[in-house]
Amino acid sequence: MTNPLSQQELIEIANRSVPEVWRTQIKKEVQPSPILDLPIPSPRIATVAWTSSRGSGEMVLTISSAGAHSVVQNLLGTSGNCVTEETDLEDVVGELCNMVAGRVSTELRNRGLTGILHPPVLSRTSPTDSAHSPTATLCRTHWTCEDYSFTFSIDIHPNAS
Amino acid sequence: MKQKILSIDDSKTIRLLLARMFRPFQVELREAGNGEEGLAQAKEVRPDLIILDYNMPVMDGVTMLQHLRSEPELRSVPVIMLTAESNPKVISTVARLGVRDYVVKPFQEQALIAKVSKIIALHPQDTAS
Repeated sequence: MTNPLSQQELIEIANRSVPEVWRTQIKKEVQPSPILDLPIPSPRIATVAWTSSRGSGEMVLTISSAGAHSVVQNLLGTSGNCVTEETDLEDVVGELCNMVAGRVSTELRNRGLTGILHPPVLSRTSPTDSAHSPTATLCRTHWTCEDYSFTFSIDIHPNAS
Repeated sequence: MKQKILSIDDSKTIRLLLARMFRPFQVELREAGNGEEGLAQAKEVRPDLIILDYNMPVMDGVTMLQHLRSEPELRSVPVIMLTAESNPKVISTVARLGVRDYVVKPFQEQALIAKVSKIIALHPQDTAS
């Protein structure tokens, strides 16, 4: 079964969703950066799964530890001082990914792909590209905000039927 | 008298965000990390408003709402959903369970405060009654 969305469509969706979440929730503007697969130092990775009757997918936010700390301060202000544990820092990244995934999910629904989001899963290591299905559409976008950079990717797999 | 708001979300980030948002107001904010804890807190504090996430471990927002509506003393507590989930089936399900408003993340803080103000009176901290 062919993928219901092209890579270009997913890139356009990501290009609308990521800046909106940063602008609305963090009060910061982000800039798309040239695609450079440079390693992100001390990455914090959040993955939100999305399932629908026509396919499934994953949305992944990868941000450096320093970037995550910056997000905490912008998002929570002095309340961010309460974020002291490593798990709390990961929670911020997970919630951020959850918000972007929510925005993406709305766009997918507007294109006839109504799905359900699952709670964020947190890790420190990226899935390898070889793990992706050959029929998957993978879109990876790169961003900078002030002094940190991050990536957001969308990976949609059509159902086998 | 402070309004009692119960924030039920598995994300500490969202709970901190709401705590910061309501700090300027005479609000007693209680927190719970899932629907089960939220239900126990609701029975204990009888909140004036619940702000509820959908996707949570242990007990999700819809299940929690169903339990809440089956409790005679809690069934009329107003609930605002605050979630990244915008699936129409979920929205329709919680609407049938009497949710007063549905806010999709990302959200504007002032817009959420405006929605809360339509349900409960929010008095600034410096004008204590």
